[in-house]
Amino acid sequence: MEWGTKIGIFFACSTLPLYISGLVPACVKVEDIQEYWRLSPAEFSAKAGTPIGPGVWISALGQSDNLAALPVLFFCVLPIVAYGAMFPGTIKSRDRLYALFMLAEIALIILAFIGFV
Amino acid sequence: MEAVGLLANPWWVWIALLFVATIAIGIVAILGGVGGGVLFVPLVSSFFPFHQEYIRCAGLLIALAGSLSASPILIKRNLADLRLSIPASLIASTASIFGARLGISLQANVMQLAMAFLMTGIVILLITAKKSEFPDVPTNDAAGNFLRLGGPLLPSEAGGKSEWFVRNTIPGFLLFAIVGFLAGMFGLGAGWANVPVFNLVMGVPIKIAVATSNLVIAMSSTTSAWVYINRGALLPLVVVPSVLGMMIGTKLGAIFLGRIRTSTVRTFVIALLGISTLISFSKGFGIIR
Repeated sequence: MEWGTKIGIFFACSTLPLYISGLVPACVKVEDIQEYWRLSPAEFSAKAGTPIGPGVWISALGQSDNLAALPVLFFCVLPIVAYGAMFPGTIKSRDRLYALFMLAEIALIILAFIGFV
Repeated sequence: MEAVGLLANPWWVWIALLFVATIAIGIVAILGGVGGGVLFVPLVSSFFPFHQEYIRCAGLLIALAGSLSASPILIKRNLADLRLSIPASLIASTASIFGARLGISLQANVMQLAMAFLMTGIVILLITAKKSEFPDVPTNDAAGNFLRLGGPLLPSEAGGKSEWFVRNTIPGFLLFAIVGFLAGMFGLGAGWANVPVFNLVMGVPIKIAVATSNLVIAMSSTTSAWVYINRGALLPLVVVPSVLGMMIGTKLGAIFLGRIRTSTVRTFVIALLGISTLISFSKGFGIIR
């Protein structure tokens, strides 16, 4: 988790300048962002013509604003990695209840990720 | 980009101010013993022009990044207790999803008012709550025994005791449902509530309570953050500088800790939260935009 956070921060520092510089095209140019950041996400999407929803950002990774979001989204995956790393040890020690808790937590995060909850 | 264009377009001014503000929030949070998340959302909501949902999403991601950064060290030092955190995290993260969904569905002014009421409660809690360094819990209750909670105390932490135990296990864990719900709804880190639940309700020693709270925050922030992200509430221009600023600020705060009187900072933090609460009430009632 410690290294994951450092990696995430490193990539965040690398991808945000791409967005700000305009070197890579964005869904919404950084110069125009002030028109949008007062709007709700639904209003933003309607005005900018950008789709929202589970996984939509994956298909738009070529846009620099979505690319800049990627390192932050990486943080949201790290807890699954951490539990995944601990899970075999829990099974080995036959701690079934805690193994079930961990599986439930991993399932919950995945369900939240895919927008099922 | 032309320099003239940059100067004429103040978007970067707001982002620069946000970065500096989050550094300051990080420093003050450490010195005042208050979570960064509980400062970030109300203060940024009060003084910056971003829509609340972007701020709440950023608040959750800040709380997540901070706890991910701190948790490995706390686990290695045997301060954060995994057995205690895992059931609490599951309950909190489940509830945080419902909180996030409700927060998204309510109108902005209703959320401002709701946040103002919550902040009033938090300010009162900060003023009145006592900490119990080593609660007197002679043995686990039945649920605590079943879950095999408790553990040894480090000699430096012991205060004369060799082990810690838990009480009110089931009511305590059920309280995490409320904590998680509120954290998801308002985008706050939940440290302000996790720690009193662990320490005062469940009788966990304060340092273990604070450390274990980080693990709970990591899980509950993740699930509710995805609800906001899938709704399109992740604005990198708000999140990335905020996360970076907060991390720099907390590192600086840790350096200054011990050199500045923390009680003074804590009073300042409470006053700041009070002002932010008033602004939230004003926005909620439509007095100011």
